[in-house]
Amino acid sequence: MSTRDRVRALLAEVADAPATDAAPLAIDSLALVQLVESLEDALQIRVAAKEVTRENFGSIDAIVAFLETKS
Amino acid sequence: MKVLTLANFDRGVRLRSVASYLPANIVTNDDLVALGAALSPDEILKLAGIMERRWVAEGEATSDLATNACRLALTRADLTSADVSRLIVATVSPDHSSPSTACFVHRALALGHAPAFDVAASCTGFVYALDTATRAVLTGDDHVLACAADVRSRFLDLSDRATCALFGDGAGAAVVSACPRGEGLLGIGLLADGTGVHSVYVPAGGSRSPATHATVDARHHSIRMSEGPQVYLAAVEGMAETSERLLSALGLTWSDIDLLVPHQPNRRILERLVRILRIPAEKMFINVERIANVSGATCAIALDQALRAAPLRDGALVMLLAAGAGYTAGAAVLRVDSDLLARARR
Repeated sequence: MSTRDRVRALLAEVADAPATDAAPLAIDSLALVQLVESLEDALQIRVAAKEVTRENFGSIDAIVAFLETKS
Repeated sequence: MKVLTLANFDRGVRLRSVASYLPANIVTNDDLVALGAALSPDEILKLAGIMERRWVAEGEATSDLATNACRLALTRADLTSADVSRLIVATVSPDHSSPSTACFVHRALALGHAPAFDVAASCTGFVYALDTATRAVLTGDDHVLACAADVRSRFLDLSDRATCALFGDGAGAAVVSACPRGEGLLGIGLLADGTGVHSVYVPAGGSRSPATHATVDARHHSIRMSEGPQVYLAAVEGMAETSERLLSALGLTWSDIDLLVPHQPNRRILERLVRILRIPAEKMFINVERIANVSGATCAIALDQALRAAPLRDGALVMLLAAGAGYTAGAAVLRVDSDLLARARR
């Protein structure tokens, strides 16, 4: 499964899917925490507090781009 | 981080007794939802690991809880009010903005002319109070009451999903006394990072934004968590870094620590902390299911419960660890002795 597909799948567990990968995420803070921890577990990475920004988590595209910097 | 290393002094400082007090009123997740909370009971349990919390009754205030905890701590220490050199109350939910909550406790305990004052360090409150009490004993005080008490239930907006279910009320106290060098506390580390002042805060009611009809209508007197995910992750990072730095300063490792008694913001944070510190889960004391986050009092309440219930032996090393709004963080390592354990279990 690609990173993009994994992000979509994990996001679908905690929030409604956005119309496109570039669309802003409609996700509340509690769901965002769940998403961050799911990504950490799935990809064996660690996300720091300062990395949880709109720039890194504002859309599926942004998350995928951010995760590429962690690999 | 500022570290107080007790080995550098001629006298030691120990906890002569520890006690806690919780209000009688139990608020379950079902109760909370019935009151209008914006989360379901299942969501609260899943997201925070909290089943219930204690809330004060109508008319009950922070100083009432603090007084009960201090009174029990004195009883367990076989001391009276006349023996108290100083009273420190850590709180971010004072009875009134002025005077200090400590002065209300002082009146209730009839502490004569002993100095009394508040410290505000949010969820790190007890560790900050313990640091100040320890320094007072090092400079000549005999017995200092270090108390932390909070009533956060008065500052909740039940429509706010990020904060409505997390907080309980309660108080904890310790009698901090002199002892032979090498016994009791080994060290205390404290830090603050003001970049987090708006992470978890009450927007109105202070000098920057006094209470008005508009601030009340906007619910600006309730706790706000502006960046929940960052706060969540920062709490873990703060506790992990603070604990590691204190251990390093004291020449210790996690294998030397028998029990970690952390602040209890929610179960998920504690589980993440265990993973990051790479310590066995059973090395961490957890009571968040029944007590929830009691802000600065959490560590003191947890320490009292741990001393009473955990399988601690004479000489065991316990670390208190907290991080909170501000940001603030703090940790303390103490050697438990059989006298403290016996007094806790009275």
